[in-house]
Amino acid sequence: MPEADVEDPEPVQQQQTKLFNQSIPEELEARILNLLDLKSLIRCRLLSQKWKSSVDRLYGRWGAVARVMGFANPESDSESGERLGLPKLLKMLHGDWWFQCSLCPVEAEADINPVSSDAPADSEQKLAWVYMDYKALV
Amino acid sequence: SQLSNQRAAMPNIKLQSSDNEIFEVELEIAKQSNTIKTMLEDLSVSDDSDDPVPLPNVNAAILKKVIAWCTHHKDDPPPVEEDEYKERRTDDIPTWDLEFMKVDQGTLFEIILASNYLDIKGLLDVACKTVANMIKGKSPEEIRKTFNIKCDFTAEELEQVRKENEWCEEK
Repeated sequence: MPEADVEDPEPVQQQQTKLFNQSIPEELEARILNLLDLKSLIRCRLLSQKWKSSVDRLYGRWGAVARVMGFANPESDSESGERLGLPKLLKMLHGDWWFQCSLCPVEAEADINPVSSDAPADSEQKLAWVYMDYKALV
Repeated sequence: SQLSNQRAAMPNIKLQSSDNEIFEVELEIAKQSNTIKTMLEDLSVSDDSDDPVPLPNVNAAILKKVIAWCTHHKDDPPPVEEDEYKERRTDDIPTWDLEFMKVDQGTLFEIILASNYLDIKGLLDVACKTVANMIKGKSPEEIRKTFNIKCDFTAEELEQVRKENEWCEEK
């Protein structure tokens, strides 16, 4: 996130609003972003270049889309409102190729399953493909 | 009284802040910090040792806050391992903690760093939830104002991100 302007004397109110202008470690930044609902998370992409990078690094554009699909958890009681995190959702969707997507944050898990031979190559198609898969599950 | 006898029997340890202030704390309270707990075990520090445990990453003001939190929560059950796959709620902060977290952002930031360094999961959780709640439900402009964030996008870049985000803003 952008460095705070240390040379300009700031009024007290300004001094008290520096939280995200300080260099918060990535793991803690991720911890906070992980607590956001999808809409708030995606809105954070609009704040600044740094925030956009942070959200994209964590979830990737398609990962975030997957997260919206995870709003309802097919594995849980429909009344519980329980939500799934991205990794579980991706596994649940058998979206092996997600792990190969350059925007996907969980590439490290690529060896969980082999890449599906019939996975579409184009990201838009992949998204539609996953969505259909998801709808089939719910 | 029985209570004062119990208190007298509680072993204490000394914690030394980065600015060299010494805090005497009940051992069980201090051990809510996994970092301190591990240090005591690794160093085989006896309960009645008079040597302070140095905490070079936490200043006195923040250490005082951390100790206050740990003291209030000393009888809490140990934090459970959460399912990392589940999205977690942020509307479950206890009233006392809500009041405790009513601090300026600099202090909140320091509490997050300190609780991470001291490995106090409960405090880190509640501090991060507090920040998340400062973001949730706000417009980008409101969030920028809250955290004094400068928008460094060009008009074209901002429009591009807006387009990318459209799917999420749609009802």
